Amino acid sequence: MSIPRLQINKKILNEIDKQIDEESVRELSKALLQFELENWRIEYPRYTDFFEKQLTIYCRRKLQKQ
Amino acid sequence: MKIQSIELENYRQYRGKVCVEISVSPTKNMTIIQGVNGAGKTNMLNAVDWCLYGKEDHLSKYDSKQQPIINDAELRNTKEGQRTGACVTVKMIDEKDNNRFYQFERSIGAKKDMNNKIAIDRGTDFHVHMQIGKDVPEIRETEVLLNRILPHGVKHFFFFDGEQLDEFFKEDKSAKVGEAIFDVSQLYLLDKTIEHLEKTTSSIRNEIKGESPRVDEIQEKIKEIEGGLENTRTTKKEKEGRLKAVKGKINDIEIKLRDSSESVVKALQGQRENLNERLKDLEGRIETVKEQTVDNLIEIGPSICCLRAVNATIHQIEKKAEKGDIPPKIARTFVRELLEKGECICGTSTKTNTQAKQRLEELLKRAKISEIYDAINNLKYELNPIKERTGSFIEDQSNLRKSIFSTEQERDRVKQELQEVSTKLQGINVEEIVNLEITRNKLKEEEETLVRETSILGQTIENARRTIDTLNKELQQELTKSKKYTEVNEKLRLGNTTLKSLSDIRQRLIDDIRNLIQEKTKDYFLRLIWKKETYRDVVIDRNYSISVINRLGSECLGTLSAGERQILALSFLAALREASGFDAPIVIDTPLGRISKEHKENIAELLPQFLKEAQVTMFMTDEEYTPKVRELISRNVGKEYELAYDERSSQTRVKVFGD
Repeated sequence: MSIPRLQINKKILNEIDKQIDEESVRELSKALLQFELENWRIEYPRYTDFFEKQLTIYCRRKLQKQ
Repeated sequence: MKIQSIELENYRQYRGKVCVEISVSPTKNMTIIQGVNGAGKTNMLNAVDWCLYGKEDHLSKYDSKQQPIINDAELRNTKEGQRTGACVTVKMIDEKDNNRFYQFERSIGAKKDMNNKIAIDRGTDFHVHMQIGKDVPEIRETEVLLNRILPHGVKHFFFFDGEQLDEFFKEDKSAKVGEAIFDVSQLYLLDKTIEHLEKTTSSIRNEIKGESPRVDEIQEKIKEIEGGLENTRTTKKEKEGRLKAVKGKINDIEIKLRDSSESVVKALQGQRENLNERLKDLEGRIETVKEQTVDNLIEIGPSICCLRAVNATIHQIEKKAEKGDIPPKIARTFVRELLEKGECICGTSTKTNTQAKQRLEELLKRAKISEIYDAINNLKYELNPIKERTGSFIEDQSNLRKSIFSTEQERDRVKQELQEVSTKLQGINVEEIVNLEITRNKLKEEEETLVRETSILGQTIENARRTIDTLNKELQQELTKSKKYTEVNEKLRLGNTTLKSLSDIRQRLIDDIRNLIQEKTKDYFLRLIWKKETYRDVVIDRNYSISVINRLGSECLGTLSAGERQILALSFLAALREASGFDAPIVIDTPLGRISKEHKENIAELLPQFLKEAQVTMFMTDEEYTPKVRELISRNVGKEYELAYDERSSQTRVKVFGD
């Protein structure tokens, strides 16, 4: 049984929406923060795969649009 | 997130099952549990702590850790060979998540053997249930779930003993305040994301090989700096850890000296604490004036550089104006209107008098040149203040420097006095005191070195980051020449842009949240405090050090009474909750414990306003929950209970207040 997704602090989300113009950077930031939130308190979270995968996803989306 | 109920079974003085329902109403957001000293108020707070975290942080000397958690009478009445136990259940609901229901249950068992000896189980059983759809299954990831609701690191700011609140600001607790702001605002998430993203972009960059000599060269440079950066970070972390430990040891020694049976030692330690407060105040003032000096220099500096040109321009304008070289101001619209009207301002008709008409037409032609008049005048008005500002610059700078000099002299005097206190302590003919003082001095020296070193390391890290940033941009530029690395280059760009954005957001949030907490704390403190004329400001500086400024402009945190510090702490906690956006229930034991009678009412009236969106449970003595206080907060109170301790049966009963 899994726990529902945790919520990132609204202040951080608002700041991301307000300060980051580029959509891919904005979405990538939120995805990475969500990962960190879900894995908080885990001393050595396995972030490498997740981070690389997210960068690839948003990078390809961006290149496709171009 | 709100607490729905607290159920206790054979927990300390609560025999059998006792259930307290907490008000979840948004308007009547307060629950009052009243009881005389020893009735079991603090132990109900302990019960919540124990249930959720397995620890009792607020034990009194009567309920020391050696005393069993299981109720005394229950243990006595358990028959030989039988088992018994204590259990605490806390039920919660999350209104912001469709009233999702949670249940936390912790229990501990015990067995009485045939020789009437009791063996209490070593560990506790902890079960968490959470509503998912219509079911309420047991959840295994208890730690993760608890972190979501109220992380252990910040629980002290939501579940606390009011009587101990003043300790919060008594010692140098700036690190604690900083940590609270970081934890409650989730700023640690940004730190973690930045750290991991840096490592990921670094590994992506390492995929690039043999593209061009310049690319290789940049790669090498970045690798070298990154290697150094990693080491610097590790060293900084180690030094920060050591610094924390050193500070803790100094604090322990100072407590021992303060509690010493030797009255001379006690007095000297008291004197040292006052001097330390004074030293902190003076160092803060020096820092502020130095900042003012730099600000003044930054503001006036450009004007100073241009002063010669400014003076020459003003001089030229005045000279030209004197000679009549500046064309007069001609209002173009006005002249045109006269021409259209066919009549000059002197009454001459321009329709019949061609000379007058020609003159007006001539003026209209020259009107374009006359715009220079406005431009020159505007320029003069803009240049004059620049000249005036620079006039007082030297005097301002000199005053600021004098102020720094005199404050530094005073600081040195205080340092000298501190040194004398230390010498006196070492001269006392008690070996233990002398040793403590020698150790303290060594630790103080180490502390100073560590503070200096960590600050330098922080700057080194910042510089390395900037260099990597510049090199990254250069690398990306080089890679645009290659088709092979289009995707890698885009990944790098995306990673670096995200890194930069998140770092900027982190800094902005740190400043914003600190400023907001400062503003709110000041607002609440000045509204709650009774000496309205005495205090002027509350400042939380960049190191999260809290200062209270009196109307003379001096820092006076050290001179606040216990009650005043309690007000400051309550104000800070309300501000922290509001500014951080962290939603958790607040449970306060004896919130008005140290407040004198006449001020309790003012606080009781204002506190609900400051905590209006929070669920607040307060354990109050009969001296705190007076009829007047009760009347003042009645609008916000949803549930009221009374704890009654029965000495004969050694147990506490809970009943609805007034029944």
